[in-house]
Amino acid sequence: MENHATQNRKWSGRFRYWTDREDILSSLFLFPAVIYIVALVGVPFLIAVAFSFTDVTAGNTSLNFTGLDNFRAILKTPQFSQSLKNTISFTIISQIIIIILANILALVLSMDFKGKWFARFLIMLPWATPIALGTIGWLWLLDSKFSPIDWTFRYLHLLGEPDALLGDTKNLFYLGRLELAKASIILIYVWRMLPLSAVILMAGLTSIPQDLLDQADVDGAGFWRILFQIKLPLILPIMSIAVLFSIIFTVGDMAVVYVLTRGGPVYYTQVLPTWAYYKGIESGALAEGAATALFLFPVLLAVAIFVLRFSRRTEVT
Amino acid sequence: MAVIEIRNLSKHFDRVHAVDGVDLAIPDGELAVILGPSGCGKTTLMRMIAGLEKPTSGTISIDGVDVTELPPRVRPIAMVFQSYALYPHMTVFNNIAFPLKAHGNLSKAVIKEKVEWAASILGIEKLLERKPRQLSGGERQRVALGRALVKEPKILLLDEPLSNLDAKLRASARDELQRFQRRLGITTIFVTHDQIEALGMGDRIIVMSQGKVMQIGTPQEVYHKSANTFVATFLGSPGMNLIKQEKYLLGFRPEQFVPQETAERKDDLQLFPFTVKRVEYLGAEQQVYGTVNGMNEENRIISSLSSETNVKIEPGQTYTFAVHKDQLRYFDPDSGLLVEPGQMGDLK
Amino acid sequence: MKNIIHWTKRVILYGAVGIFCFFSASPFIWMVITMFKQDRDLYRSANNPFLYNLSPTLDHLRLLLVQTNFPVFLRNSVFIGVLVVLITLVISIPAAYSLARLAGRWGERAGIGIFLVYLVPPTLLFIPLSRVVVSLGLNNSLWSLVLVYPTITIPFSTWLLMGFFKSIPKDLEEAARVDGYSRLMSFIKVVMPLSISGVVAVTAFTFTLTLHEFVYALAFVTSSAQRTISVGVPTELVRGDVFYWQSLMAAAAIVAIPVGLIYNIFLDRLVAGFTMGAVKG
Repeated sequence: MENHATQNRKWSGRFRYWTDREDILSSLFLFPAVIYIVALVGVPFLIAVAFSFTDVTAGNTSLNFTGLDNFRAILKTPQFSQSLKNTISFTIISQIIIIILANILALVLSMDFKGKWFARFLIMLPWATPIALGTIGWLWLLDSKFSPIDWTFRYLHLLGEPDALLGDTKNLFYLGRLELAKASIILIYVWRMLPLSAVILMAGLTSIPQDLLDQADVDGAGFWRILFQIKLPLILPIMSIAVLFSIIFTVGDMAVVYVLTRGGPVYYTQVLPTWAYYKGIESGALAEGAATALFLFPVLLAVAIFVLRFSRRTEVT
Repeated sequence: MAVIEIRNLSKHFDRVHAVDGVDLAIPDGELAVILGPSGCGKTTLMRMIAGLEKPTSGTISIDGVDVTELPPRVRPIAMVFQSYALYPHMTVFNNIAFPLKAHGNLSKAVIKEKVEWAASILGIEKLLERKPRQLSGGERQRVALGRALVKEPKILLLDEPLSNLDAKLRASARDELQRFQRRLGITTIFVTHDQIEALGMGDRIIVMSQGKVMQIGTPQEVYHKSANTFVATFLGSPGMNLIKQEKYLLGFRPEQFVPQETAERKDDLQLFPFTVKRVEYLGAEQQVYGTVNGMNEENRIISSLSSETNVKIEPGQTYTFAVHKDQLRYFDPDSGLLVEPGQMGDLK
Repeated sequence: MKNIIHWTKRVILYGAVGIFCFFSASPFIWMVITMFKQDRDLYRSANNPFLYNLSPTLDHLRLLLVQTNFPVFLRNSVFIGVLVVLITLVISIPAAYSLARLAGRWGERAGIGIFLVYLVPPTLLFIPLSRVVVSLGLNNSLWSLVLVYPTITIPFSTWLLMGFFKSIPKDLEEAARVDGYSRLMSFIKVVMPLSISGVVAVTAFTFTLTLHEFVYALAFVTSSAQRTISVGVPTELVRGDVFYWQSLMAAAAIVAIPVGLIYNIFLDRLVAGFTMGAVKG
């Protein structure tokens, strides 16, 4: 007994039981991730901020502080303001369409029907596959000469005839005409983000307790009243999260525009990420590129904070 | 001698004092039951004994060794969780063998032998190849016990091990658990909120409330000599009747509050005029709710009578009910503590 | 009457399913139709584009696999994907466990922090990171992507794994500790075996994330031999202004459809992870 006691006293040095100490383990476990994120997200972010206040280029990497010159300079260029406008308008329009369609799609997917697994597979494809490759599919689908959509219109006599509804040209030139090019980009954003938003909403719908819906049924509420007065309010927090994801992925995306239009016609479909890429990487104007990309940050931050607050406030339970 | 000694043990979660200055000594071979309502700190106390929770202050020693700072794995304890916490990815055999493999110095043959020993004690030899999800509640409980036993611990901790069983199974499990503990003579601490389990199984009962120990004693002591009004009203179903009098609280148990004519002894009775409000028939017994005349309206009194009694009790009537004077308990109204009738003079 | 209502509902439901499926799948359907078409069939605008007016051919698939860098891109992407998955698992499993179990209330906040890092788009960081990559001598090398991709996959995987770890009952770990194991060993012996399905799902998603990535792959790597699928196909397989459409479509379909299948298998876990964090966040 004595022996046991002294032995224990001898062993109970500070780190003898470190594998049992939550404080030590938690720091140890978290350390590599924190280092990685700080080194390759935190530091680059600071570099981006630093770049945007200097005149650094890919050729001359010395940093000379120039204050707000870059921001003044890029604000003056029509390409930048066009990109900013596009980023905002593409995002807002696509989000409105997505949220409406995603609610319908989530309702559809939460019902029982044959071949559901396969339907879900097809519906998820746009989100699951690399967006650059999906966009190539669209590029060919919207081809200026061989678009099957145009062919269908022609087949239905809606296009390519003197009095046709859609005009007498043989093709619509989706990516060559400004408004159609913009609409095409928005269409692809919707196409890509719809599946994710829908499955998130579906998870929200299926998490509504069945007895709540049964109760509403017993109380005599019909399909639409249950939908608008019970289901939608209850999934509002999850819906706001779906919107957040959708906004962030849309705003941050550059593959769609880069692959589909390269910003054209001229520069009228540039968005901030592609414009930052042309500036910062292709023309080597690091400082202006960084400043352009940084314009995204306050917007995204504000959106994220707003959505997270909103989601918590609308949470019922 | 005491196997486990706890001195001035406290655990604070932020501002909540889950356990607040507990002193406790449990002798070798005893089955001690920690009883209290949910949130009284009984589980926290047990978790500190196991080493799963670090005390804010105070010490715990087992077999004379201060284990306060030691992790669970080096304490000579074993524990059965409320959920049984069987490892779902392992067979019953591997679940029971798991503690034996912790140190890696036992041969496979020894492990097999020990697991089979534990399984035979609990009668689960046939279940060894099954997975936990294929077991019934009672079987899971046995496996959890088996896993605790193979460690050959000095102290066995049981955290509400019967609460996941259905009512019928619970009675037989209670009996079995108690016989099993007697046979192995292992010091056992049993946490429960169920007073029937506590009174029926415990050598001693530790009644807790709001992080403090209210009373430690045999089942008879805590029931018949409840140390304070909390213990008096918490134990028994329903709990003790309390009547506020001038200087003290007068207490008596519902089953000792009977119509005068059915009282066993005819002398030394304290009589009360009892106005019945409601009679609740519960099968073997009936509970009579009412007030004692001349007392404050707030003094709701309950009498538990056998349904077989030949005195007819009707709501709205007043009857003379009696309690034997030696069954009356007196409590100090400020501290709630039990006082001896002889001390009444001091109170006046 | 009731029957009619029932059938009307069914028709509306299947109609809606059909429309959504068609919308989502149309570029892929178009890819698959195109990839087997002969040139003379494809490039005649009078032909019905949905039918094979001339017999299908495997020529363009052969061209893709033999004469282009597509196999190289594929190999590069797999190489990067495997390494990034390994790095991600090694770093995010302990981090997620730490945030889920060890770090207490402080962990909750750090978890939200990790989540926010996942929301930082690569487009914000590719310019400074391109300088970091240059200064490490990794420009124009696959290794730059191996280094940088974990910044996307670690937050994502950590977030998902946190959910898995939280769903494992604490009792099991505590039982292991009472059974004689340290905090660390209870994690290894009890939590890890129970998290295998979660780790598999995270592996699948991490891998697909690396396949998806476009911005970094475009900005850091310029030589054809080091390109990934996501960038190589849209940039390299397009020679001048002449697109080899059938090969291009084959390249997209070959990658898109298997990835879509994998994704769908693990989808439920992904959604659970997303919404778990979302609701609690």
